[in-house]
Amino acid sequence: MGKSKVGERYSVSIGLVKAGNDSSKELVVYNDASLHAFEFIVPMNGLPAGRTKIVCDAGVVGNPSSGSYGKLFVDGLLSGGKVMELPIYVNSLVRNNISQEVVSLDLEFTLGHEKLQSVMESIALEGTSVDAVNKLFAAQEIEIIDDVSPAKGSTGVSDNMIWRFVAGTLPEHLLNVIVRSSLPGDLLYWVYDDSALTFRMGTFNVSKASKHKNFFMYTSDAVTTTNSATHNVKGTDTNIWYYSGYSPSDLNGETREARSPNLVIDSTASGSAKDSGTCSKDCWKAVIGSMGANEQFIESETYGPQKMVKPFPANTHKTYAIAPHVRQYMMAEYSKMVTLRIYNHPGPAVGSCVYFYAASPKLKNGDFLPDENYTAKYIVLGKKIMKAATVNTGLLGRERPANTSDLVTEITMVSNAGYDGAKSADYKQVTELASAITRALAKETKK
Amino acid sequence: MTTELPNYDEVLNSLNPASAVPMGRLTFPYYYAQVVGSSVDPNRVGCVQARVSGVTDLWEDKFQPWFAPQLTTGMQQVPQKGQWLMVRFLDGDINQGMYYGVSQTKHFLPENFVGEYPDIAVLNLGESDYLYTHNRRTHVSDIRNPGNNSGITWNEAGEITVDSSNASEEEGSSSVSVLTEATIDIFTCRPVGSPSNGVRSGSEYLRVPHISKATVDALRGNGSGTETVVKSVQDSEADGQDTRQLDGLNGTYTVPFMESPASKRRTSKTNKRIIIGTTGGSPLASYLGSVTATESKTCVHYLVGLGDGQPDIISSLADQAAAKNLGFIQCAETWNDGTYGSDMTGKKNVDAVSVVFYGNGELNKYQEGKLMDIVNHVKKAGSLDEIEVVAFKSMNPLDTRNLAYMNLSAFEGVY
Repeated sequence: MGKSKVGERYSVSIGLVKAGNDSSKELVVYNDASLHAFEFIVPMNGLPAGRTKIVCDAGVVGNPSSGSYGKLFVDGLLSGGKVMELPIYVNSLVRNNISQEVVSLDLEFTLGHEKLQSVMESIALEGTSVDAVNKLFAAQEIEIIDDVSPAKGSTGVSDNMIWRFVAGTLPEHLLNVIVRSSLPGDLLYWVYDDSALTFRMGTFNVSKASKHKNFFMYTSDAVTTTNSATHNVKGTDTNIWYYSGYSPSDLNGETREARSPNLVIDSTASGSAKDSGTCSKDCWKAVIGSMGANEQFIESETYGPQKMVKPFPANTHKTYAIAPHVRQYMMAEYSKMVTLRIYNHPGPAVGSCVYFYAASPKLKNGDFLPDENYTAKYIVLGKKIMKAATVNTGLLGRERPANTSDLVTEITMVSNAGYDGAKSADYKQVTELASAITRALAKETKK
Repeated sequence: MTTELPNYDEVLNSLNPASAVPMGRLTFPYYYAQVVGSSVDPNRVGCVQARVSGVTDLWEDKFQPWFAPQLTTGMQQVPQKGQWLMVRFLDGDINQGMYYGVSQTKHFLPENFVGEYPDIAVLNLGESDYLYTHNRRTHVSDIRNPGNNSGITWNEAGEITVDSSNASEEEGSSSVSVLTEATIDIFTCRPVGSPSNGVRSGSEYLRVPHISKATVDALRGNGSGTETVVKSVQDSEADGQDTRQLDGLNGTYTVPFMESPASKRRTSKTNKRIIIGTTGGSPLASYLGSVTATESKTCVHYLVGLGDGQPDIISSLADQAAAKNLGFIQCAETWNDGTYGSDMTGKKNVDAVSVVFYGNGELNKYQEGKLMDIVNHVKKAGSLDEIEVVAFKSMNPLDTRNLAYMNLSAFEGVY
């Protein structure tokens, strides 16, 4: 294994149009030091959005306004020293004069792709929900990464209909499709992929079956053995993210830089692991019961009697009326949830699959055993990128070293693997892969 | 360590359909939509495809959304192509539209709704332009069926007329008044109708008080033509004759009643005058015959002969010469209007009771007495303090009836 690489940093800065003059495109850039707080959320089925508080010299700030466009710069993310630039749209901007010399700007923004902000004409498209999402992006001439394609035939998408959209924005239209989509045993999604800087459409099942793997691997010497946030195992499609414990900042070293320059994972298991993958019968009854339905069709493969969709025979696919509730039911199955914090890295893309090797407190040969409840395959449901503030660790009365330039990415992952994880196929796959990776890395080290 | 759990509500909400209320919804209380195509709802529950004004104007017909009917206790019909709908959407979802209003025609409103505005009421009967209308100013109701080019009119006098361009002109009128006349072949005495539709309804109401023996003989092929009168069945049964009460000066008595079909029905009437006139020398029986004939255009309320008795049967000039012209007959209800006098303007007949005396205007005591009885009866029946009596005068100064007017004018005045 390689040595630690110290000092690698990711930083954000914001550029806003000067003097409210969009045509000049001249930006005033507020660097990392000016951003006293920063938060950027990348959700599933929605536009990324964020907010920040900029404190700067009154002489620097122009006269930026709501409704203008700007840029979010992320430095240190892309290879080759390139700076990632994301267009942003200013939803609101409030200026406060702290003193005669200093002002603060409270900024709220969304991803600023112009074609995402503009209102589209009413349109109608024919096909499945997957076709509809594809055509909607095509209608705005936006390229997407279509992860669904390889599995189009196998997912058995049967929600063929005429999809009608009255005037609205692209994200609104996309959400209309997503909510009404009906893929047997699967969930369709779209997301802004901040690693590829474009949009992605996929399904949970396709993500889980993806050849490319993100592997969150526990190792007791993660701090000293990684030289990068991720490590690609040669000859595989597996990207390894090492972590060394649930609370590594308290156990390893005095400073973050000494512990792990690039990656520290704080993990919090939450959600209801017991109920994951078990939303059938009673759970389904509760979901469907909220619609005022009775037990007669709870076991129905078509999710209910015809009368539920009968009034609109030619308008929609047969499960259109019940599709939102079916999605709710399927999301209830994904009730095993883990929240991770990754420092100074944006983490895997939303919608992608993560193999998570959760460590249990039990030891075997001096190493941790896998946690049987939480070791499983997960889908990244969303993430929040924040500028870290000083955090009191609560241990030894010692404060975690302040490093205000740290970026923290909180990712939320969900799984539908059952509570008795050791018996699940997911658990077996993850642990087997962990063994294989360990063997592969051992070979690499010998070389 | 203490790690604050992140709030992922925003992330999760995007996946929660219950809270996901995307924009691009049709949330106004109503929209207008026009039915397109001829697609038939496969479930046969009344759904139609329609173009929503201001929303789907540019879409091809096949992309237009379907709308389910909102149930009604009124007439349920499937709107036709071109008809306008008022629609709304469940949850603002364009795929879950319902229509709850349907225009009467493809032109939104029928022409006469605008032309007769605001007096006309219109009801569509399940086909564009198939309308039931009622005019509250003229009190005329009408049903027009564009599918078979026919209609029914219920006029201000309460008469119902059926007309159809499908009727054969060779077999009868294309316009038939129900209850007052029917298309009857006078030679065969058989009701006739169009070849396709057969006998028209209403024929069974035809009243033929008398059929001459000559007609009967002609039907039987006897051909002798003996001019005697055979009473109709109705008359034979009615030897206990139809009568009306008359409240005379010296008490109430009955008057034979033979209704004139030219009587104008009224729903409410207050008599304002009594018009008096003469038969102009015509025999009483002839005048009675013309008043009660099925196609009569003249109606008088009372016909007064020279004395008590029955009108003579007139079948020849000799009979006419020998006729005694007796009798007192009522031919119309006093609460209906008559049509006395071809050159009398209609308005004078309105709110009037007409009395015709046999002769040329010289009234005998019997006739004077009947006039006073009628005056008394009309006043009492209408609770009137007084009533005017006017004599009929022809508009043509050379008309010999004006001589009778000179005599009758002596009876003019307010009683």
